[in-house]
Amino acid sequence: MTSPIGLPRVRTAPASPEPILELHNVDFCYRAPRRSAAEVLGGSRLREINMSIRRGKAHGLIGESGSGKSTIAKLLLGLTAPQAGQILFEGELLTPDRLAAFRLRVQPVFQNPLDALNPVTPIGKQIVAPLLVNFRMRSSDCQARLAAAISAVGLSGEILGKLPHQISGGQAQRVNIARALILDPDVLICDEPVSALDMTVQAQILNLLSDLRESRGLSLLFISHDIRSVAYLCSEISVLKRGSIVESGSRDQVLLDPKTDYMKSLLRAVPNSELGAEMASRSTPSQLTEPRHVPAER
Amino acid sequence: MRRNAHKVFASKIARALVTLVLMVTGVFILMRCAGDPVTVLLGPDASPDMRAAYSGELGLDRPILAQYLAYLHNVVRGSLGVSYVYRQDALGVVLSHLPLTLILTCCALTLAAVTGIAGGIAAAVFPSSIVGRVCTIASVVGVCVPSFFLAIVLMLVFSIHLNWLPTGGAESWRSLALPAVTMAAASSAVLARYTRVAVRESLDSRYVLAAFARGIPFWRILIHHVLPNAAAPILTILGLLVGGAVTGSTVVETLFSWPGIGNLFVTSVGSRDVPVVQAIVLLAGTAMIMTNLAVDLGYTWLDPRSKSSEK
Amino acid sequence: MSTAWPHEWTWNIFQTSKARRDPRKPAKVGLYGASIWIVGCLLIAALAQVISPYHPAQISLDARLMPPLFFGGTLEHLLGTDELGRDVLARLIYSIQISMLVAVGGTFISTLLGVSLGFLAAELGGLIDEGVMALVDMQAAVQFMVTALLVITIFGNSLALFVCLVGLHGWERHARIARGLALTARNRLHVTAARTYNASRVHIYAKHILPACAPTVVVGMTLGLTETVLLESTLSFLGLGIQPPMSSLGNMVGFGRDYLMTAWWIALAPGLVIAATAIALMTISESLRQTGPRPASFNSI
Repeated sequence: MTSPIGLPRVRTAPASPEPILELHNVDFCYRAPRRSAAEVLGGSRLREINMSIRRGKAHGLIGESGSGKSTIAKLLLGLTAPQAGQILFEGELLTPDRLAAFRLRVQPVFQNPLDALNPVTPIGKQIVAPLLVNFRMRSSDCQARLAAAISAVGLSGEILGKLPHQISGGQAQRVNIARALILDPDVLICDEPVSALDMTVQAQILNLLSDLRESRGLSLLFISHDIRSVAYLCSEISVLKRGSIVESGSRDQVLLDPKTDYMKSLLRAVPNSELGAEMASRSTPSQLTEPRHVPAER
Repeated sequence: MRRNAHKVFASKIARALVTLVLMVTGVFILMRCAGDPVTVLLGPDASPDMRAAYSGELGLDRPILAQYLAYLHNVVRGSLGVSYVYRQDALGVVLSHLPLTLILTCCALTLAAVTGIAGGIAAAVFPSSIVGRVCTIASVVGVCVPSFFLAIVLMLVFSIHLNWLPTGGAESWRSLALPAVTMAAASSAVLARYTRVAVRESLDSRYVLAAFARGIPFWRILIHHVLPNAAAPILTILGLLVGGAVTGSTVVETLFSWPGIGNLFVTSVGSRDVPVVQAIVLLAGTAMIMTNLAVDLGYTWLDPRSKSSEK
Repeated sequence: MSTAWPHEWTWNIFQTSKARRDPRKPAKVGLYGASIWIVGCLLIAALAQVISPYHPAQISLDARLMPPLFFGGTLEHLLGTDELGRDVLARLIYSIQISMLVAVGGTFISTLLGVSLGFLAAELGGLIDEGVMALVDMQAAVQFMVTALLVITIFGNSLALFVCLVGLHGWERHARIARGLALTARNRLHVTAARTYNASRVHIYAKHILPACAPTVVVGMTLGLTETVLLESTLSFLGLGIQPPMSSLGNMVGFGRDYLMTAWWIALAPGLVIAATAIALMTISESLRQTGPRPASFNSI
């Protein structure tokens, strides 16, 4: 990725990365009158969640539908509050009065990229909306940030005047990432960011996220039910089953040496049951093979 | 399941009661906003000792909540004040006008139900034939032409030019004809529109297509598959029309000098006869709420889906 | 396929149902005619003072009860004159002005009131939601005509009060629709995304939820406009709405009624204008509804 003018600070990952975002013994349960079907189907209850995302690292969260993955994303975005337990950001407790500042540094990327864009607003305006909402900025500064953001995600300027229905799903997801990046966050919470995309585009988006993590020192929480993309992107993995974390550890530990039957069954359910780079190369021969063999240190 | 059904019934009845209380409260607030309630209830020319007695009874020196409760008590007892014009109990005056209104409304609604439902079905089944088009256009025109204008045109044609029917009064069936037709026109147009949409949707559905594929004759499909599924919205509209029976005929009654509640309503509004207006409003509101409740409960009885979902 | 059907007209049913789904299908001619009529009415309303041939209150006792052109009248009074020799066309133009003012003003107020209450109920939930919905139920339970007559009895009437009263009509439908749409829209991801970048509630409702509701609300507005035109004319006809010396369409029909035998044109002209306006609005509303997204619910026509 080229780094254009005024590119925000590049964080270098320290030698021993400290946790940037932590969940401590978090319990959560939806209140009785649930509003959306997703919440009814999705994890209705979380128990004793402990998790930490390290600075500059990609953390994967695997689990079947309804295991509570999206609920964790909601908690980490401050969209709901846990009933018990704590959410720590850079070692400080996340409280309602810190929420606004917190949200500037933790941004989401959602599953359905087109639904995450307002259908009636041009793309350019949507990308700068977070800046306009949060800061009083000169429009030249805005334009510079906007240009930086879209080139960081590999989009060209002509997309800015378009409406969401005029662009493809992959472009839309890049727009979403650009909107998240324009606030220059430390953490991206990616809730199934590639599930709604087709295979080649999935690979492009995964590469983009991986590049961004390296070039900007971003931390990622990558939520997916697709073990292959998690294996490709993440260095640490947690496995969620019915609202509890059943397994957690480095990528190799979890994938190559699964402790629980649940994880084993998940692994068996992957179409090509071998793992790692080899597996990825087989499933998507076009993109995932070429430049990036999974580096040793992730 | 039984307990659930009772629960649904109870919640519906509770909701109706809340609406009823809200309505009475609304009327109370409106009356208080208007000014001195003694004048409002007794009329401008009440004698001073009558005023004193009444404000004592109303307890105007008491806090507003107590006044409100006293008002509720009066409403429940049916004492809504004395009509300025008739010098009688307002509710009694209103009730004495009720039968004629009910006669008119019954005739009009029967007519409307027959023509409206038939027209709606015709418009849905033959959408591109002459009959269907005429029904569709007639239903739009029927909704859009205000009933006072239709009444004038009918009067002009049938009473003045042809001299077949009287222009007003309530002497014989002949004087019933024009008001009933006028009133039926609007209701029938509304019914026809809803029937058309409901039947059309039902006709477009897969189960009707499947029935066609099985070679079932069209009339059987219409009677056994289409109409039962289209019945719910039609019943709702019918319920609304029946519920509005007390005041639905206001305009028509005024125009044809039909001495029913609607006529009384407009003359009372004109002469600012507040107790009578208030009585009519409360009566009409109660009738509407009760009909809605009946329709709701009827659904819960009749619709198999609502029963199974309670299990 | 068509030969397989037992009756020829069954084929007809499916054919037209397919044609109906085509978004370009709705009758264009009717729509254009309706739009031209409505725009014309609005223009007349805006320019009434300029285009009116006479002052509406100008009395000329020599020319009383003149019939319209083609019915024995003259070019001087195109639509004839009334019992005091006032020009019917001039009065019609001024009446259109008042009626349009009341209808547009009333619809605007009711939409504003309904949509904001619906949004409040959706956003705040809880007791406020229950309260708003109870009010909606109450308003839906009592026919609006009844409410209107009660209010007029108690407060009398002036133009401003009358516009506000008409503006109360139909708010409950807007509130119900807006609440339903807002509840759906706030679960959309772009709203969630806006929340994650600290957008305020006002910002979210103005930029995200209102645009999502707008098409349905506009359809509801055209429908409300139709009803408002009819309501205003009915009340004025009964002598309870617009009061002389101002005249509205319904008001004109009401006074013309006394001269039905001798001068039918006094009542006929405004009556036809009311009916045509209502039909035009209904046509526009229908075609908007067919081309736009399906509205959540319309409880009355």
